[in-house]
Amino acid sequence: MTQTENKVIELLKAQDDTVDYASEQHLIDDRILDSFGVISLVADLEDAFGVQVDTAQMIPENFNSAAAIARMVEDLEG
Amino acid sequence: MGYNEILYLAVFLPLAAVLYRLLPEAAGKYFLLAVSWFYFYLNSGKLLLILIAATVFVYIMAGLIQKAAPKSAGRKAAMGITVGALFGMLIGLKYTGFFIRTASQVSLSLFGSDLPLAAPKILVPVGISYYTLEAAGYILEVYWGRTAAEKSFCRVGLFLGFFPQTLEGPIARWQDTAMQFPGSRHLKDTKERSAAMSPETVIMACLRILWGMCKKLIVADRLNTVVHELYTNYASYDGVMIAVAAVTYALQLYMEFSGMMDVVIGSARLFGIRLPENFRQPFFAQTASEFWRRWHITLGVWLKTYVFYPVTTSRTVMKWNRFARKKWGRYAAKVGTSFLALAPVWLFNGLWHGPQWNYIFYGIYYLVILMIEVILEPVKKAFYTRTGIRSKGAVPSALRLVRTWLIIFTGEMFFRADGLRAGLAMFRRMFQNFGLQRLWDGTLLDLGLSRADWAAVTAGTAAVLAADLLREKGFSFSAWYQKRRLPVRWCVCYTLIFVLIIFGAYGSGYQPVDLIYKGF
Amino acid sequence: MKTGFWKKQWVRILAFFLILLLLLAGMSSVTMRAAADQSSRPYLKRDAVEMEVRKEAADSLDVLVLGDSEAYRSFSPLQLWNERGITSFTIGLSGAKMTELLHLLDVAAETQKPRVVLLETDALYRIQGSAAGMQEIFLERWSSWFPVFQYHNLWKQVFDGAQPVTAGQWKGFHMAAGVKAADAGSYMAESREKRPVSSANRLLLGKIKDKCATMGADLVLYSAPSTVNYDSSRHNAIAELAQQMGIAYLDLNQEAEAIGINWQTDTSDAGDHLNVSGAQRVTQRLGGFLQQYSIADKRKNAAYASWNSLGAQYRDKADRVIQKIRNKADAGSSPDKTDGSVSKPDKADRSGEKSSENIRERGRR
Repeated sequence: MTQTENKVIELLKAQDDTVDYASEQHLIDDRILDSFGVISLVADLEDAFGVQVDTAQMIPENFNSAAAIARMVEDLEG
Repeated sequence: MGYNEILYLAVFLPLAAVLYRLLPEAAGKYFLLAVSWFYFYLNSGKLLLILIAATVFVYIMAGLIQKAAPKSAGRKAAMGITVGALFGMLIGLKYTGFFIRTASQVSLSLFGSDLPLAAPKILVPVGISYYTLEAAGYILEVYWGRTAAEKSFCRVGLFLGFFPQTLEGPIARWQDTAMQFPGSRHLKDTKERSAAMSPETVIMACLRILWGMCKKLIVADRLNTVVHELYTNYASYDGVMIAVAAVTYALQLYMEFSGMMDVVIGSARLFGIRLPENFRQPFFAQTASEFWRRWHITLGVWLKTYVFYPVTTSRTVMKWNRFARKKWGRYAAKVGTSFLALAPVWLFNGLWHGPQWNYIFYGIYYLVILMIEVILEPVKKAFYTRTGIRSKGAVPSALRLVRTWLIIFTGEMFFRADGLRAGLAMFRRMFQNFGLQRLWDGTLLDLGLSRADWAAVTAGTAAVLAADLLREKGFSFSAWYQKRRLPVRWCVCYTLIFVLIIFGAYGSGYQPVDLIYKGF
Repeated sequence: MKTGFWKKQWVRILAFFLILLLLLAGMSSVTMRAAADQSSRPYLKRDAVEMEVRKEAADSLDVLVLGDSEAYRSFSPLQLWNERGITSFTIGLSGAKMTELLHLLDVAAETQKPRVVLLETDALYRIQGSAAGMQEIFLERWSSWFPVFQYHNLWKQVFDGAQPVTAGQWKGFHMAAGVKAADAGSYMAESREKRPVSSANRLLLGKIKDKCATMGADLVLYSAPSTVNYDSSRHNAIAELAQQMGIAYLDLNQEAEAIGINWQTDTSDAGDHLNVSGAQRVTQRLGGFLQQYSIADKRKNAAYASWNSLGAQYRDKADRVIQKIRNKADAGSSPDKTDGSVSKPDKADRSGEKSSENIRERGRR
């Protein structure tokens, strides 16, 4: 588990701490994160990592798991 | 030639499907595009040229956008021009007629004469509301770099004009269907491809078409008589009869639209194409927002992908969100951001159905309800933790179900009403002189349906809801069917065919009803 | 795309459709037999009128009137009988299509040899477009092969039970007593416009004409007065079509004033259909037209005694209703406030067809 991933899980837990984010692979498909959840997470990510998430990144594959979110952030950090 | 017409079901579709199979694979894409455009021509005549022009335009512009450097001003401008032109065309064709007609009416009542520019005979090509959204979505995908501009013109042509989708959708996103169409980069996996065209697929597709026709002919077209009467002469009805109007229209619309989607999706399967689903047991939704994830799904998904997310991730809204969080906290920021994102979505949804006040009202109606949902979220959570009632329990679930139905029925009543004024009047009349006994004292038999018709409507609705319930519980008809022995399978087919022939509302005494969503 | 798999399937496919055809044929013969016993059900409207025509004594009708609701609301065979001793039957079906009229004429031809066939022209404007027309023709053929399609509504009697016949009561005429005045304005104001009849309907009119010729009957077109369904552009198109095809055409809309149609009293639904008062005037006019055929007066013929008794019944009822309608107008009360005191038409006449008629008629406006 990368450092980014840990940080992402921390942000996710701030929204809803009843989920095991480390293993969950279907955050979007199972609607654990709804569209409002996604947008507030995006705001959190931008604040925490200083990245800018674009509309182009707004696809389910980027948000389905903590690992995927971390990967997207790392890509954005370049 | 709508999908419910015998000419389509018995001649056009089978002929096209058989020929497609007989042709060599390389010719398939040309054939499919030719058939699709021919179908469009049959429905809209020369207006086919508008579709072809839009296809060429989108094909070229997607290439240009791709060539421009990411995040460059040129790329943005090309995207803006393309999307603007597409919607300009839609507004010009679909909404100008309305404006001129309205102006003409005003002039007639003020000056007693028509406008000189009268005869607003602007013909609107069928399905323009649908393919415009698809085209705009594709352009945005290319603009964001999520997909490459397509090299095969045929594939772009099929993505926008594939004939089963022409009249009523489903509104596909590029990633949903495009790669299934034969084109330059073909499905590599031939196994998958032949599975998509197997006899099992064909039979399931035919059964689905039959099932859809049953929904339309047995329930929807019967209810049309009642709906037509109640909404045309709404001024002579009140109380429970208005409630009947609300429920019967919601039911008619569901049976008709989802039934035609069965026909559409089944038709596409005959060509090995899997279209996105438009309905997922909508009447089992627990909340209004869940309803919209189960009803006309592809419109909701399109709006979420191409309106909701772009708005929420726009810099302005992001900045506002951050500012609001600091100033008023997370909750207020969420409510505010939700409003900023939902307002355009729902105004768009309302207006997309047509330039009428009752559609706009319909959009605002759902905007308000969804905002209330967002605002009450913490209250709801607190309620369940304080009282200790399990929110997933049977009683709360049932109550939520009923509440959602009330929301749906009321919304659809405004949607169908003959203008917003009529809708508001109907809503008021519902609370006057309720007269519940009219449900069983024979009043219902004066609406044009006999006892037998109501029996067919009831039985048909019960059957569809039972099927929906089974699907909701995870039952797969297709898996069940495949496991039966041949005689059983054939009996299922024959039963469905004869149920349709005998109980369908067609022939002497009934009028075929045109597709409802074709009009949007 | 060609796979060997499909070749193995063809026997199966063939068997499937063979069994389907057998089942269709079986169901058809069952429904056909049931239909023969059940001719009196109003929801078998078309089938009811068909069965009523079959019940008429062979070779007993001098005149057939074909058409949609405009026909059965404008022409009264029993009035014609009372006035001239000519036997006739109105074979009308609400929202009739030309294909259905051709079929009904075929049915009538099996037992009757009329001198004159009067065709009400409203149906010429139903079903526009050539594709829709072809489809209609195909469907008509199809349901004559497999009557289960035509009689599929028979199951409804299980719920709806037996109801009185309306179609044959007055030899096909529907007696409407309601009054709702029409704003006739100048609905027949002259114009040069023509609203052409679709090619499919022209074709079907030709077939009807041929059929009449083989029966030895003269085909005559007439347009019943209706402010809703007619105007000059239709008149012009039908007149031209009639001339081209060598068919006589009477447009009673042009003559409406001459034959005494009073739009304040003579329509039951604001100009769409005539009530019995309007029909009385139209029937009188058409009776005058039929004089030229010098058809023998059969009122003294013992074989037609049943016509005399039914004619007397009809006279009693119709005279009373017509008088009420016209007196009310003379008394100066506002007739368009509908028919509170005027006797209501037969119940089945109103409710059963209300819906389908409304919707159908709506499509035409």
